[in-house]
Amino acid sequence: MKTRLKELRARNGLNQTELAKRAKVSRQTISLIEREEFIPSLLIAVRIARIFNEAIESVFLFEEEEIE
Amino acid sequence: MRLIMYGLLGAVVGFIGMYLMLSVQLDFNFFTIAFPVNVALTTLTLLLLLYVGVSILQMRKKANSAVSGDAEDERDIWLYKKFTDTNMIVIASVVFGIASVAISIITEQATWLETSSIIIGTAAFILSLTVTSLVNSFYPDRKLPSISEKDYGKKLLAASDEGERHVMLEGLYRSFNTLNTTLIIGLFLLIFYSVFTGTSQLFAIFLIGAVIIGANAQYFLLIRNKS
Repeated sequence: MKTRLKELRARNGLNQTELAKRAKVSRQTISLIEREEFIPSLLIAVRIARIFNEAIESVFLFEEEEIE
Repeated sequence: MRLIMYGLLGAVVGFIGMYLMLSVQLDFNFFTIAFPVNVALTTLTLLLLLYVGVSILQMRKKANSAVSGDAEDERDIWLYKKFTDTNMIVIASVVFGIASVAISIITEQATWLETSSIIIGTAAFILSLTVTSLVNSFYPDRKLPSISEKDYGKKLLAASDEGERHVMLEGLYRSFNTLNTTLIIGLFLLIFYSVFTGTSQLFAIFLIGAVIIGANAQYFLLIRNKS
């Protein structure tokens, strides 16, 4: 899974700590998602997408073979 | 052919290993070196405790500094790494402290050494609790349990989010596997030591065996009941 989290954070002027507070998770979790070492649950993915006013599938990008 | 070669090689290595083990004099008297070992361990524990003390002050200072933007993330990363490093050091100091207390009592060292070992060992234990509770001051807005609370471990796991649990699971599973392997190797070493020195280590063997069975039973019963 790829993610646009870092790009969206930069665009919105948010650091990891601030995004973590808004998404009600730890900064470590945001860092893990950004480094593509962890796939978040649907609940956290929805929260993050809402913070950026984006659709969930435009924040978290799956390869076709991953969802087949 | 390769299998035969490996078999022969194994036999040669095994023969040389056993020959060396039988020729080495293992029955040295620990009591003759107990004093310097006791002093060295107590000093090492003290030095580690000084490092832990300095680290606690550094972390408190850093946690109270006002930062924003990327510097805020960098501060959190610094605190996280420093906290885990300090935890590692404090655990080592507790183990060294317990070892130095054990040596001083078992080998009946001078009163000043016994007293110093006990004081430093106790200080290591108290400092380990202080380090663990530090995390609450780093994240005052999170509802983390206090170290004095019942079922602290369970509550801390419950208060952690899914990313943190993912990291903990990875670390703990590796640690669990390493512990299982090294304890089994430890059992064999104790058996060899007992056989070659004539000093029975059966108590330690039974104790380690019970720990291995207990820890594994706890793990497998937990995952079994989650079917």
